[in-house]
Amino acid sequence: MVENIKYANKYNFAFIDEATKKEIRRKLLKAVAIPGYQVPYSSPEMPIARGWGTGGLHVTLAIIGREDIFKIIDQGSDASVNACNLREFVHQMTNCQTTYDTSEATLIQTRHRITEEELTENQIFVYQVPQPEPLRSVERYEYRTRQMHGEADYAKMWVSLYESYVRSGDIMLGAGYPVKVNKRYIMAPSPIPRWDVPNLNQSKALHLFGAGREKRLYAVPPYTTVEALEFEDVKFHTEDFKGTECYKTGYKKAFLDELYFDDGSKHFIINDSNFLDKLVEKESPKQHENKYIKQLQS
Amino acid sequence: MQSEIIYDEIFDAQEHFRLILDSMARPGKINVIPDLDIRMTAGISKASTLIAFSLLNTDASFCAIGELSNDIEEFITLHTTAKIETLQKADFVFVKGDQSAGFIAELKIGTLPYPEDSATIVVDVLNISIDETADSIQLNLKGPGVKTIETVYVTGLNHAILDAVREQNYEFPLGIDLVLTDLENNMICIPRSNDFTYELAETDNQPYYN
Repeated sequence: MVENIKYANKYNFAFIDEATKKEIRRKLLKAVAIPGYQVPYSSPEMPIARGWGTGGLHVTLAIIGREDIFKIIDQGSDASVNACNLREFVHQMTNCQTTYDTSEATLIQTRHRITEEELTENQIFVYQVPQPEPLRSVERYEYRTRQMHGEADYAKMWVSLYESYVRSGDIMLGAGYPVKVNKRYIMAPSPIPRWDVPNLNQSKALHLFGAGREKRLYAVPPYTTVEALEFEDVKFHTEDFKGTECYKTGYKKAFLDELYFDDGSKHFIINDSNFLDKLVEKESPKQHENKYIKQLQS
Repeated sequence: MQSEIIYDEIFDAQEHFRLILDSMARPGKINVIPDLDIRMTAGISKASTLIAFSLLNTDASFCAIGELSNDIEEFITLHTTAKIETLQKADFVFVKGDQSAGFIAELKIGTLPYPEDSATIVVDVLNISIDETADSIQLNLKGPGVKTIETVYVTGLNHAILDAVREQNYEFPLGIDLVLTDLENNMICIPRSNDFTYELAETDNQPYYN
């Protein structure tokens, strides 16, 4: 009997059909050519609901190959539910090697964090984006925000930052702080903490963003200027962890999570699980460098 | 069809796309598309053919211009089922490097709300190298994806095409994206975000293009 090799698998490699992959790939090339601009795309059906990481998954599955080493994190952790399930899914659909080690991975998908360890030129970093439109909070209609982006008319955004400062004494945006890419487009960097925003600037890796529910793709190429929006007199700043340190390692220069123990006592721990593991193992992973981390005391 | 046996629509297409993506994200970085023994048609380089195979399908339109353009269009549409379109409407345009630059002004450059609705040109040149060669054009690329400045030498490219592309890309985000391939399957990309300049080699026998 002739063995059926072609249809031995129940699914196409990387789940998505080749026609849709090509469409996503063409859109990704345009996204890279216009840094920060949101390209509409098909956002095909996936076995998880839109808004649960389908955008990141579309990008990952459209670009992944057999040789890739895949890592996925959710809020910095390799072990949380969203990351575990998507890792298992990508592994089943591609049979790719998966890893927890940031430096070993060639393709990293993330939900809401950039790894603490510095990315390299050989890595692609894929974000799961819930709300790709930074202007949505100041303008309800899509056709209007497209026009505003087209004309680089960002007055409303600046006014909203100013109003926030007047009302609260600070720009009250935590995760997803708006940035200007290549001095042209204002972009939502997905809900990464302020801590991670400076790490997008002049990064060595290619950053790709997929918003599945909103059907948008965008990108930040390596070595691209990414500036957090700030005023001359009111500057952008990262989260303040003064007076705290990781209770396991004593490390102070990383993004920390707050933990409450059974006795009610409060502790802090490094959010990036792989970075924490490496410090516990007494390795010294190379961290991102930026002026905000530099001014902290170790 | 021979391509079905030699060319793997899943894995070859993916591998080549990753190289194109890498070149697009890092303008001036030379990537080499692996040599495959596919059936070819005259008038278009192997690398450009493989780029067409990797990116085109029935949802995309394309156009070839210059000599043998009808053969090239027939060949690409046979293997990819992509639509043949007029120059003004095509998503991808395949040309040779010695083409006169008049066609660039005809291509779609997108609209301000939708700048991605624009053409990508795939240009066949003779040689792309990081070392200077005789009669080469020195391309100096800077912008997103380039750390400081990237220098590449290209032969067999009508420099008027570069002038025309610069002119069309002046009003960023509107513009066209450029992919250059050579006879040895080397490839570089020049996205519209790139602010490039070029210098002609100081020789008397600079080839003449109209």
